[in-house]
Amino acid sequence: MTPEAAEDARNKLTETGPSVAVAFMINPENYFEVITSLVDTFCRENDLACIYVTASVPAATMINALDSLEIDRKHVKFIDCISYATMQLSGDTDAITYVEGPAMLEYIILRVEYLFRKANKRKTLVIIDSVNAMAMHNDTRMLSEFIQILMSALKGREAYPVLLALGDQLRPEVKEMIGLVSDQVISLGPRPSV
Amino acid sequence: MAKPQEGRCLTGIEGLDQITGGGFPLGGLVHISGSCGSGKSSLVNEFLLRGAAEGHKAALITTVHSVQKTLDSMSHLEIFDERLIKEKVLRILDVADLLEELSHTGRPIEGNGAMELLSEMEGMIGKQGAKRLAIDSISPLLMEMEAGAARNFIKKLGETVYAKKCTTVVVSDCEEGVGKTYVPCDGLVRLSNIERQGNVLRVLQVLKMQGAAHSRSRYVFDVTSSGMLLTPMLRGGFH
Repeated sequence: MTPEAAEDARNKLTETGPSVAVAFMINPENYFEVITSLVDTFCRENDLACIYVTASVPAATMINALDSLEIDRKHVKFIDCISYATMQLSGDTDAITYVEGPAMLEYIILRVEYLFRKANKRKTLVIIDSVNAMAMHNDTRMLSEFIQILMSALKGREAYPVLLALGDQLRPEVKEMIGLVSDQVISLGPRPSV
Repeated sequence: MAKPQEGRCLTGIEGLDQITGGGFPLGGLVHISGSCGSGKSSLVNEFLLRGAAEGHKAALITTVHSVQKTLDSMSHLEIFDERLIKEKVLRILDVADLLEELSHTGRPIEGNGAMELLSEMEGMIGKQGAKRLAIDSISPLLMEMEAGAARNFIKKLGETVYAKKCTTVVVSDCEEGVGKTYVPCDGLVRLSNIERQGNVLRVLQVLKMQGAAHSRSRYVFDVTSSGMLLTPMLRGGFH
């Protein structure tokens, strides 16, 4: 595990500010650490709400993980695109809103819009977890159109749009697509030794 | 709600007003056509509620559901306010109550009966001062009429609501993929369920909106407690 990856992610977002579409290329060993750092520390430091779109693990699993670390998640709303597929819908409808599958891309956009309406104009960090999972269920052209539209909408709302991806596990065309639709692509990992 | 352009009636539904090129034609007859479960009633309810919330008196004539059931489904919307009903800014009527008033009781409804029904509706619009009217759905009503009477009823309805500047929405049911309509109108909005890779999307398309440069693209929509939300249907690079 490299604790600096989480710190780097926060610093980069602070540096770029809102309305910049940022893609973080992460290693599997840093994945959860970066997520908690953004959802918890970064949101707390900047008084942000958080919309967490998950296509990789069910939102209930994420919630359990955050709860076990005693991380406050009152500011976090989840859009869960995977639990319908496993028929494991959690009862926590206050924290979780469901989309029937990761290929229902328009409904993800609409759910984000819905949560923004509910957020009372509070500034928001929006995390898409993950491009890898989304790419398994969607054609690359469709996915790039989706991300571009979503990112544009989020930038217009002065949100912090963040794409998460396991860089080493991406198909070349998906990697190229991320470069096209993001304003900044940042690889997170161990800092080079001086 | 923003100020409407001259001759337009803003629906108040975010996104729809942009797609329609500034709302429905003021005093126009707009036809919402769609298959079962495609969101027709949700659209109509929100159109009336958003208008009523702005003080535009509105009436809904229901031919399918009871008044109470219609009211219950409306109450799920955050914009719903019971005072709108109590103060009669929004009225919900069962078509059976209007039909009971007719002296021509025969079925199918022939020409005189249809004109008498129209007269009842006209009286109701005038008495309430309604600026928005919806008939959900017009299909069973037209099916009860003789062919010529139905055509004349729709024509005269259009003339009546235009004279009163009461923007009117009529809902009709059609089979998925067929979408036939025989309702002459100033605006036509088609709602449908489209299957894409095994997923079913609710889609809205404006086919006609008189006097407006409207979008002809397809939009995916969702019905939420905040109202209807729309986004362009993704095409994946195929335009």
